[in-house]
Amino acid sequence: MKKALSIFVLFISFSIFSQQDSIVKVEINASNLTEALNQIEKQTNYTFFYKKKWLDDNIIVVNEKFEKTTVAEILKFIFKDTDLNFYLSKNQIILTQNSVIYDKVATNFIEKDEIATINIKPILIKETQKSNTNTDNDNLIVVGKESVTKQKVSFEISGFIMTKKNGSPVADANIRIQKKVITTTNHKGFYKLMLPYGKHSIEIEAPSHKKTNLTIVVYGNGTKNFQLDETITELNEVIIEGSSDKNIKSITSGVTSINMEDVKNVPLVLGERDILKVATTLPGIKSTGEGAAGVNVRGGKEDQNLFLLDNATIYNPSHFFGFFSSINPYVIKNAEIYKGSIPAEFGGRLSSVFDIKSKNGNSEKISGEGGIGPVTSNLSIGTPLVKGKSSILLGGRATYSDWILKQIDNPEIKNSKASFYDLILKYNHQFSEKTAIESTVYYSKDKFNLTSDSTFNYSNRIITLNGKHSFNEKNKAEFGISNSEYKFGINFEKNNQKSFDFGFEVNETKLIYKGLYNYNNIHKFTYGLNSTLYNISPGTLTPTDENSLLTYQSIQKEKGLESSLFITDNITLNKKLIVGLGLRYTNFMALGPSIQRKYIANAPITEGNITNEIAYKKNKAIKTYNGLEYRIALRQLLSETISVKLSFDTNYQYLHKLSTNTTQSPTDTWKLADLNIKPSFGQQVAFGVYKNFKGQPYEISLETYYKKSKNILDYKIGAELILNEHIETEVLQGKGKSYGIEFLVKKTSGSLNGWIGYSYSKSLIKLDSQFNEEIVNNGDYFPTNFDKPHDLSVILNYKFTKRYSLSTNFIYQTGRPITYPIGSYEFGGNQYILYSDRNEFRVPDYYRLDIGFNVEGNHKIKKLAHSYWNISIYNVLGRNNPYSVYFVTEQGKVKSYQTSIFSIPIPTITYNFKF
Amino acid sequence: MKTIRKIQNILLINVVLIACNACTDPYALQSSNYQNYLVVEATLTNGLKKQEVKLTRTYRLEEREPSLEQNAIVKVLGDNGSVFLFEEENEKYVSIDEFEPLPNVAYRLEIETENGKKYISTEQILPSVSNLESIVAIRKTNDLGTDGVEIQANSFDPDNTSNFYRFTFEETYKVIVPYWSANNIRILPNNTIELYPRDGETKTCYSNEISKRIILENTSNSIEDRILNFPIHFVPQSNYKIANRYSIIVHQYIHNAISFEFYKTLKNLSDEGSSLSQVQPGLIPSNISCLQQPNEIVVGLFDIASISSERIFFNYEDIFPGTDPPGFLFECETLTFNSRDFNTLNFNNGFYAMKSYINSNQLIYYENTGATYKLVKLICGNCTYFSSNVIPPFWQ
Repeated sequence: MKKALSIFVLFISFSIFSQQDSIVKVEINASNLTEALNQIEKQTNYTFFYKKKWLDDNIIVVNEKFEKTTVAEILKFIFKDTDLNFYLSKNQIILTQNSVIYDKVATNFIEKDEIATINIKPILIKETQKSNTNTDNDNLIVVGKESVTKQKVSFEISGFIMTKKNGSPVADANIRIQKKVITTTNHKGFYKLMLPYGKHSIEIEAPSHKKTNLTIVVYGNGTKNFQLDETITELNEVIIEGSSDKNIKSITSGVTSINMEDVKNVPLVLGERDILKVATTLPGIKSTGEGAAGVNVRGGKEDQNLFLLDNATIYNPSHFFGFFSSINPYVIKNAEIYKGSIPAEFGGRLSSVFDIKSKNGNSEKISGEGGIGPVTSNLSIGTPLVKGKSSILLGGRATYSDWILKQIDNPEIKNSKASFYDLILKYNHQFSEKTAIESTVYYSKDKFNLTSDSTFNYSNRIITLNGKHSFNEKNKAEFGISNSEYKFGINFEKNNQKSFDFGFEVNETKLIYKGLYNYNNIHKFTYGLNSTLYNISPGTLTPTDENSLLTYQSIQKEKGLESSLFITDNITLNKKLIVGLGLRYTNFMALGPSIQRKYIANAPITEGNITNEIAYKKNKAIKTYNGLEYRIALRQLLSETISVKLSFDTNYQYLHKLSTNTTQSPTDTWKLADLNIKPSFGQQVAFGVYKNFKGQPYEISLETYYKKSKNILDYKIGAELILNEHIETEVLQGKGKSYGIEFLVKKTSGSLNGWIGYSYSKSLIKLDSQFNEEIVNNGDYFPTNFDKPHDLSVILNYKFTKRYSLSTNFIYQTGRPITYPIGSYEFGGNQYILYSDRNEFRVPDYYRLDIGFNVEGNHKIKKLAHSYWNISIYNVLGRNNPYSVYFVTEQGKVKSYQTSIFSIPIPTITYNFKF
Repeated sequence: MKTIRKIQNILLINVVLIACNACTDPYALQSSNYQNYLVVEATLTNGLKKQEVKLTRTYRLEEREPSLEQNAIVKVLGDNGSVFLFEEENEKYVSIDEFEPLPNVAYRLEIETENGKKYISTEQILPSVSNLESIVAIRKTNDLGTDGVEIQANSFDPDNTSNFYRFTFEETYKVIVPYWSANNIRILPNNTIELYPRDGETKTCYSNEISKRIILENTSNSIEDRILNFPIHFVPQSNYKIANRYSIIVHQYIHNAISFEFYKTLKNLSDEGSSLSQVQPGLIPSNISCLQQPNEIVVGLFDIASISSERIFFNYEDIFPGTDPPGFLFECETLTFNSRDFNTLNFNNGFYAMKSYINSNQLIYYENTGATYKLVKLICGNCTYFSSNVIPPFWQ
């Protein structure tokens, strides 16, 4: 009879129980459970029903006095550490062990009496949890049924999340367990998650909706729909705490995710939100200087970073010489930055991958975002095409910076012009639950007319088509094709006879296929192939006047095909140890048509040592390079909140950027590996310790790395690179070495949040040779142009109220190395400057403080658009940070000057809105 | 190529300027890091002659001239056993005996400085000898649209072994002062004016200028080892140098590849001395090293080049017939004085003003009509003040 009772549905019984429970006074002095229960029976009018064996299984001593409490409370106390549950019915108390519970009494009842023999911990359900099976948003939800035969540890639960008001699906809702995001709904509000058997507290949070807390009891697979209340305002709900323990759980070390929402709080130059600028505040990522395009990641050159926008390469991710990033911040969903343990699916660059994904358009209604700033304005609009299935997102940004130029008291610049814009159009279509495609078209253009006689422009263009398909639960695939183009041009009109057009272009077409195969709970495979076809037009000079003194000059085009196959196995050895093994095989072929020079072996590559020239026909392989890259990662959880990670990876890079500038400039050209220029090869070993604090929004990480590379391109003294047919005579290929330690402490939420990042690092290069003229600095390791050992960033936000917040940003960096004139000498009757060893000295240290103030608009629900103001001051301290130091000879004396970009505080105000 | 680089420079400078108006500040050079190194300039050339080696020291940025490396022992050793000693003479080291580097003999330079340090060069061999065929003067409009005369070189090596050419030149031009007189003037203590004939030639002189630029040409890429109409020098029509008679001697050096690279780098570094330079600066590797301290920096090089020279002459009318020759080198005007005006307060054109100018050697005599004297600046009336009246031996 007792057993039979145990099939009662608990949440029904609780409602009865709560009404009938009365206040009692009990004193228990018992050495075992049977005794304790007997004492309760004696002191109250309750009777217990149970199987004696259950009580004997639980050894427990009770010595407690209970006053003015309910029997339920007493039992909860006593059974706290047992596997027993209880059920109150009038004056009867039925004990259960390993109870079988169904959400619907009649339909699903199958189980017989064997339940007690299954050794699974009982699910204890608090009396406060109300039960009501007819509405979806119960605080207690039971899914599935218990079964003796089911030995699975976890079960699949799926369903839709909708708004309470009209039942429209809630996209991007995060379902969290213990603050960890388990899954996120798709645009249809659909979710699917795997949960272990048992009771879980879950939290559902979605933009514009109230946070909902629920308890879910999982007995088996099932479906469950939820309804969420909409919040009154859209502005205060975006508290992205997602993946809060990703830092310790993920296997990759050196990976950083940047969410565009976080960027909002960082004060930035000229009021622009900028994902790249935020990236450079993280340890290990540095920019060469203000106004310098390009970043250096863990001591790697600027050309060792792969910038991807929806899988397509972007060659120059910046506008206006690096003041702004060229991707409209309003259309970016997120960016994953890999400083190390680059997954095997990416390749072709030694140092990092910036994997930027754009947002999808809103597939339900028209929505948009925009910003109006002193220099640029932004607008992005998303609209559904087929409701719930497809949408487009259109983003645009343009500048009107001419007025800044007008402010300058220099007639030449006053009349100059500078403009840029970028456009993005994204289309996505969800064919079914299993298949989706998306396509992105992106174009950015910069144009300068700084002097009356020269016009300078550059542009990025990408077109992508990406698709996803899930074959079955275990097999998924992603595929894509993309084309990227980067061009720059100079138009010069000094006088008629010297006018010319100069143009450079790099174009790549890339094919990717990635398969995901969940073999079992231990092995998860990723495999696929990449193939990239490069076409480079290294430079064409076209005289633009018929009487020109210049002659048409064109450097032969370059072509190359880089193909790779990759496979990764993520092995979950146990709960604590995950090992990732990745292999990537790459093949690069430099292709004709081309004429390549051969030089005398064992002699410096100079004009004087040419043996012969070889002509290659169209698509004939000039030179083939093969490489096998290793990507090995290991994660060990030391406790729930501490993990250590170790990784080792190797990379090949077949594309080099040529620049004798100390900083990246848009006029830098790219060069493929060929007969005489070898690909670069890099190796990195990294180790990191990661710590979270349970219930506290803090994260700490300490990472250290050591990198070695070879065939890193550097330049001979006095190298000339543009319109040079034989770059190999101007460059040197040397060994690189860099190492560092990176420390990051982050507070992810709360009224005070932000992060402090510090890194100590060295980046060195060695140019040694058996030939005197190819040796730099005695063939010893010396600092690279971007070696800045100390780097400290402090980003802090303080929210006074929901509407007002203050953010500050402090950066300190060691000054970068320069080659210095240390004296003069006379040769052949002329005076020359005697330079120090390369990069022997440093410019003064860099530091800067920025302050920003955000004011959000009022929170009326009926407002057409929600908005906020950002007022920021860049370089509050007015620090005259040197951008470069240069030397001129004035009246026979060498004088040095330093230039700075923003030597005074720059205030800006930006208005941002969202609808 | 250079044009483009200049544009880049302009662009970069401007971008910097956009952002901040007065953001260029003087920056303190850390000259305390200065170290004094040996500078060697030693090019042996073919032809039996006294060969020269110049040894100086590097000097501080704030200094104007190098100091000489004195009392060093300098010798050139051939691998055929020959030894040539050098001695100090006129700020240079000159070989005691005349000699010429022989083909297929490897020579090295050895220097022992006063402080006992020994420097030794790598071995060098005389490159092939090729003659400068001709140089010509052609009227031309240059890149900037300026009319002028271009001196071009033509050379050809049928063996195709020369390849690395460097040119230097030396210009000599006739100067004729516009306000010349055969007489000098002096004022005797009793205030009488006396004219007396000048000593020597003071009207026509010959000025000399040495090329400053490094002129290089590489034919190793061409089908033929030929230099055709190669521009050596351009003189604008408005330049006084060519107003009378002009002569230029062009020296053609043939170097080996390594020395050529040295000059090429030196040229690249010196051409772009401007701000935000695109050129990778640095120390040019030398083929000379210190025996005791192999890492010590040595500037310069020891090399052997074959030399061939050609000279041409032309007159202004030969190139620019029927046009007005350019004006004189300097602004010239005559100052007129009334030698009978003894008013001591007339500082402009009275006798005392004239006396003062003459006695202080500021003006010299040009002509007079009676008591009215015309005087001119020294450089307008006497060429020996800025040039040489010695007719060069080659002049024709």
